[in-house]
Amino acid sequence: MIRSLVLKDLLIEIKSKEIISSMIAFGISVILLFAFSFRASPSQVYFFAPGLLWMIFIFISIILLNRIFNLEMENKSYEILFSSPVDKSTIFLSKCISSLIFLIFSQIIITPIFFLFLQINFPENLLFFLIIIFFVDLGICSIGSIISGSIMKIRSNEILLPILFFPMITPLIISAVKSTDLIFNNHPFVDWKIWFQLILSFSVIFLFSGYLLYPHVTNE
Amino acid sequence: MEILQYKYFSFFFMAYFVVLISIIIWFLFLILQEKKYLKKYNDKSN
Amino acid sequence: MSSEIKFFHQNIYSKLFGLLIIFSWLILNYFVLFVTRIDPYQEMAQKIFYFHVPSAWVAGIAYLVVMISGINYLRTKNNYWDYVGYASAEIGTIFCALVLITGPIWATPIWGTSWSWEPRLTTVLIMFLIYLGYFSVRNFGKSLTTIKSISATIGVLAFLNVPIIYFSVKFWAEEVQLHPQPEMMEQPVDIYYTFLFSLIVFFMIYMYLLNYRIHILKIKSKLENILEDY
Repeated sequence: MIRSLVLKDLLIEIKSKEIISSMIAFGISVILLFAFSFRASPSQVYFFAPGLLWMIFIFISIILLNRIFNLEMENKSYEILFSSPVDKSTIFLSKCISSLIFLIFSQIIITPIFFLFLQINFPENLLFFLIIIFFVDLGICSIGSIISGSIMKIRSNEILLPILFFPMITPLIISAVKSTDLIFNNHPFVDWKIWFQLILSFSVIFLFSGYLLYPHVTNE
Repeated sequence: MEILQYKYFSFFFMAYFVVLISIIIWFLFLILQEKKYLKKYNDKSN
Repeated sequence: MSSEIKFFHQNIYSKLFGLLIIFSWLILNYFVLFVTRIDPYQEMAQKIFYFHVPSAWVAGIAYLVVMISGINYLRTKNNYWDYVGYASAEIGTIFCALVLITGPIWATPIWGTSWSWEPRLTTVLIMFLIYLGYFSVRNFGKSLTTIKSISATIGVLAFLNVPIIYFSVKFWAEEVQLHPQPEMMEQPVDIYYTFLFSLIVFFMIYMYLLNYRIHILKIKSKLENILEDY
């Protein structure tokens, strides 16, 4: 069931291409702004690089999370979705997975451009870097889907999402920036183990609580 | 009043009154709200 | 047609409770000013502690109540739990603001700086911001069922976030662990009992304001029901 729901989102996206294209365009324009604002030497930008990178990812995930549930608001298709014999927790999980796929796909395109434009060397520990990105994305998508999925019926929810979303993910961003910084500087796993544990516990807690809460939120 | 002669009395005074006044302001706000709604309710229900 | 609702203070118990709070607040002031010892280094600034720490405890308890009533609202969809959650979130935010104001007042003479990115301060600040978001959800629709469910969810998520925020900020700024962490059991008797008493007084204030606010919210919803009938 969950597979067909994710496939439905992917098919809509492949046909319209509106989410991913706007995410990538927005991400690249933010990179340009950063490159112009921080016209310092590359060695100085290197210190800010993890923070800047995660800020870009947060901004593009706001676009994604706004869109992924408003997709269902068009033509009131959420009424059909919610009245179909699908468990509502499954709908939540499917939205979580499809937004995770979109986010990772656009990150794959944006990250090399970021390193290229800011003239920073690509990290050597690519595997660790990808692992951190994956788990932070999981956290972003789980809490983002539960917030965005519950506020989707309020009008002008585009404004409300960042207000609720930004303070909620502060622990995740602190851990992501810290661990990315340590990975860029080739620190061993022991040094950033604690951050990895925090990221993991954040993702698991909010994935689980979203799974439990979502059916009750949408239930009228 | 020897208590006034200790160091940092003004800081204590400030913190104390911030706490006290904000609780009182909230309390007054609640009284006004109650008055407003109750008056409306009693007008409408009769 | 419908029966008349009384004022909150026409109930003898709530009136007595209010008087008891005023009386115990005066006793607390006496204890804080004249009975407890003066700290040799911080002198009067140390006495802010009797108002700062109970405010923080009440804010924490209030937010815990928001989470519990949020879970109960999502399970039962009973409006009573929505009133409890809303009232408690308001009081919790007021006390959170008091913590954020009294803390810097104390820190100005003692630390020499008003703000530091210290774990407890930062955690309280982030909580405060999250609950400001909670109120902006409330403002988007007055008493719709959707809004009630959403704010219940936000209340639950926000409280689940507290320990994670605390630990992440703790490891983030390890060099600024300035916040005093006294063991209450090891304090001298006068400080210990005055502190306990101030906790009780603040908790009574919380209970009183909570009951009052729930009473008002009930009137408000009844009023809205009548207006719909017209």
